[in-house]
Amino acid sequence: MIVVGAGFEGLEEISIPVLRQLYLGRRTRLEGLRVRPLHLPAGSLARNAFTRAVIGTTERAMERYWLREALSGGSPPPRELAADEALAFVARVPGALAYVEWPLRGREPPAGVRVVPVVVDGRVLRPGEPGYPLRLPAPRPSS
Amino acid sequence: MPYRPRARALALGLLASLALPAAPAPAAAPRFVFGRSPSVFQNDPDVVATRLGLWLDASYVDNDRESGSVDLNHVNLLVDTRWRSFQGFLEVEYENEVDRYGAEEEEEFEIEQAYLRFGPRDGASLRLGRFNTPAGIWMPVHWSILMETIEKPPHAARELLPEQQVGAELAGRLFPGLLRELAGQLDYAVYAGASGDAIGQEDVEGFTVGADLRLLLDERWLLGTSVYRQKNDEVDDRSELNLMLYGEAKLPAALTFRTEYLHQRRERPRGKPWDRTLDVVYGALRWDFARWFYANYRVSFGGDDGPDERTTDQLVNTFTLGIEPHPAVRLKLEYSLHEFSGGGRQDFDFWGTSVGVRF
Repeated sequence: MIVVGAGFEGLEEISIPVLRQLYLGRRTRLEGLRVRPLHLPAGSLARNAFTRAVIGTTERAMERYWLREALSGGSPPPRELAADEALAFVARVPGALAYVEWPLRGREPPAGVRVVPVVVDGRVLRPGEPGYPLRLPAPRPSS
Repeated sequence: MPYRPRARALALGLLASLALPAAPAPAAAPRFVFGRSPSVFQNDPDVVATRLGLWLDASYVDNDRESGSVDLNHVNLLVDTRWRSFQGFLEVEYENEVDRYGAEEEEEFEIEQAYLRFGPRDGASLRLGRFNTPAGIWMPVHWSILMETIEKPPHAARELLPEQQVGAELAGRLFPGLLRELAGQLDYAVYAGASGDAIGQEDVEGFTVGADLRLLLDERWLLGTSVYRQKNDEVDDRSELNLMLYGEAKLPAALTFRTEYLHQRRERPRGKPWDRTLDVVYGALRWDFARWFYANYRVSFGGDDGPDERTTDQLVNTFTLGIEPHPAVRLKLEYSLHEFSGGGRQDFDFWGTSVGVRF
């Protein structure tokens, strides 16, 4: 699920294309605020699922992309933080935006952190609703 | 008794401190951070962050006209400093390239780029200084470590447009909601440049002007156009008007297609009765067939309507195998066949291998 903190009080929903633009550094501002997107650590299930659903390309292609950005003075890649650190960062820093697994293992988001629905085909979807695009892969049945 | 004046002074001081507004705390000095990783820019925007980068490449090249050679082709040092909406960028390059199109060897040490940028919003930023010409796909990001091939496409190899401008650029990025769920991004750039030996722009005279507009859809489809005008001080002192059309498409099966077309109109030089035009175009197909490997095929064609040997019609077929065992390492194996028509140049083969490393 997508979580935001201070500064995004007017953000009622967000679309996959906008998330893609933010996480590729193409768009750096939203609702007039400088956005600071956060990634979960590389190799984590949630990050792989997010990259697949939102970015839609391979890790090797992303490495080439960020190399080109670095050489041409472009945007840096999003900062990497573990889930708990990401939630604390979002609660503290205006403009921060992150994705974390849902549900939060029985906990509520920290104060100041709000879940933002995702728009898909014109439908506003919350975590857990049918068609919500950011999902972890289903566990493989054990043989 | 001797302490009463002190006690009274202390009481008066305490009362005064309650009545007067507290003096503002002194502003914290900006912090400075340095590093080689782009993660230095992930700190608070009030931090002055500087990133240092270095890459180099070397090659062994051979053709059927002259013997092979091993060369260190590029060593590039980058310094990128950012603070809030400001950026300073410096790129210093050592370059040793053989110009197969003119058989001239270039070995030089130069400031490739040096500019200041102010970008308060995505939609508009101002850049001043020396920067890569924002025309087409190849020119703005022409570093060999990024390119699929060893040889440049024709318009870059023939230096039909200058690699850099020295001047000012207004550029930005807009996000039109063109189609539902289809992310649209419209990039624009308008720029003007100066000329002169002192600023390394000795091949042009007077002012240069140009503009670039590109539309990117869903990170899969790119379509763009560029215009650029300059007075060429090196060749015939002629005015040149350039129009570029370009595009890129990410196709199924890990295929990427790219094309750039340049039409150059050379206006009538003083005292001479002719106008000439030049057209060059290439199409390239890249196939990322395995995690570490790609294959690239490019066909290019172009020339002009005059007898100038530099711009004779030329057909080039280029085959490249790329190997990327690590994000910081790129190897290329390449073969190309150059065929000329309408001029005095002979066909030739080229083959080579190149390795690039980023630090």
